[in-house]
Amino acid sequence: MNKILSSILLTVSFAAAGDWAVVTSPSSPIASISKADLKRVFTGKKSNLAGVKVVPFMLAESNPAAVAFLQDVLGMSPEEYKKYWVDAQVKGEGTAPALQKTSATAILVSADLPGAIAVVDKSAVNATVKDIPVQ
Amino acid sequence: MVKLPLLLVSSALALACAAHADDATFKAYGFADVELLQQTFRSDNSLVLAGIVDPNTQLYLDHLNTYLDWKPNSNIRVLAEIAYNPDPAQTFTPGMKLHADSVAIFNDILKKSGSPTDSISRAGIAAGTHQLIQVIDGIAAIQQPSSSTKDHGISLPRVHADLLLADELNIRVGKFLTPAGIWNVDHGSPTILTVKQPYETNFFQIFPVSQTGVQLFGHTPAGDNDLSYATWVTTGRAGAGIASEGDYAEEPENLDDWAAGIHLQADLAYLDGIRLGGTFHTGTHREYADWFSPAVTSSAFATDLADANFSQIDTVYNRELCYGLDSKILWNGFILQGEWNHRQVLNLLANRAETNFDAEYVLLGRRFPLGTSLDVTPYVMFENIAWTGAANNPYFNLGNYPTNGFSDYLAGLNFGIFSNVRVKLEYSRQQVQARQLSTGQIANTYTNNDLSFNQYAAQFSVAF
Repeated sequence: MNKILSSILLTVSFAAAGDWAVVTSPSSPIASISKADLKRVFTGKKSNLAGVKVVPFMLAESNPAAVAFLQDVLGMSPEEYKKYWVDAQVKGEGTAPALQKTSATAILVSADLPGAIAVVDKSAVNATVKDIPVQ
Repeated sequence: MVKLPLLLVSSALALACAAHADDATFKAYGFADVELLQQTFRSDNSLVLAGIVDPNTQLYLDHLNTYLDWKPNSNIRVLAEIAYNPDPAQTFTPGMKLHADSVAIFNDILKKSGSPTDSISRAGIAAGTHQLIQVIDGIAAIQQPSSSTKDHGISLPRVHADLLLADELNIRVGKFLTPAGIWNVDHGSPTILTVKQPYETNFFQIFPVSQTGVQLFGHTPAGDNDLSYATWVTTGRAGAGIASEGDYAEEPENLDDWAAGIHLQADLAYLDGIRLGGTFHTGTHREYADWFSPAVTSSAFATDLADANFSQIDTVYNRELCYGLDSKILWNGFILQGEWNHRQVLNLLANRAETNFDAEYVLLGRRFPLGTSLDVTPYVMFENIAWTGAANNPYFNLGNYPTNGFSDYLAGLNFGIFSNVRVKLEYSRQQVQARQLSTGQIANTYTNNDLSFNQYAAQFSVAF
């Protein structure tokens, strides 16, 4: 217990504002994900990972972690990401991932969903979800 | 006409309803745009004099497209796009604006009214003027909205059900946009950079805009790159003319009347993204007349019909082979996009005599951010459409015109406000390429200005 608490505290102390993580349910078979696949998931170009249908959850742009994630993984600003999905809708390719207002709600909906891939603030990650290493 | 897509979609819906609805979603969204249009004409323009086109500035609602997107579960998706068009619903009015998703309404009305299927006359060209002037007048006319407030209609550019099996393999049934090239699918004003789509994906369709049938599609990663495909078997396009009829395709009479095609695409992770694509499509188009020769005199007409000798004669029978290459390069805010499309039509009633259409466009733009929610993209575009062997196929009715094609020059500004509002300002100039006489001059000493027209357009587009 103490180990878990210390690791959480350590994570919090080293997580700068805007640091992001992707999490899923602890029961998910998804063990890791490449940056290219992560980009595909959040642009609607990949719907299966490790044999499960993925359900991506994006964090609201008011959270600095979301802005950092979009820049690091997709190379887009929040407005560019929204425009990407406007274009995708017009083309008939689908609609944007569900938006979660806070990391806490993103973690809550991901905890019991094996296909969930949620972007969260790294400092908010807790033991109810699995932090997926991005390679 | 619409039985086949409805049957296909209803079958998929039945499958969808049978599936477990654990994560059903339904979304409605779409786009709308309003256009301000000014065209400059010669003072003796035949269509202006005939009251067919309006030389004054016009403001009108151009599109209101609504998408109904239903996912009863993670393996089924049903998408319907419902489009409003400023086009005829009741009567044929020459000079109406045409665009890809409304040609069907237009052609359907022509069929019902029994009007000739001359595609040039569809554009509303008045008789009595020189053929070259007729052509440029016609090209101008197809950019204009209908002058009658009654001439509006609703069409279904697509309605299909997708069975989502895996990223690599999915099945689509119903009516869908042909996944040929770039701009046939990127058909909405919030997505395309220009006010005016290229003629080759609009009025002068090299590939059919939409078709009814079955499509397999999917994609797979290759390292950081993506490879994708779409292949289809459909009823093809119902009209083989210049303004093809994508909607309401005819029911195939036999195996030869089915159409098939494939699109292959590579999305490469170089620069900020490079897309390379290629498309092939083939199909036939047939029109026929029923003839009967009465066996006896008309005084016993009922008996005559019973004894009559009926026969069916093909009046149009063409095979088309369409090829296309497309590319888009994104780098540092620049966009360079182009498509080359070719349509070869073999007249099967005249020893496979060829008519060929070549069309290509190149678009260059550069996006400049002006703040977090504002950007501007200046752009230029050039399009060229040319044909050969027009006299080999009377169906196109192009053989009489002393021209082999036309060009289109565009320049404009596209302003983005937030992610869903676009304001565009555009200038374009269309130029007919006159066939030259042996002296090197063109008929009637027309100048290039006589055979061109200028267009100024502004568009306000919003995605919702």
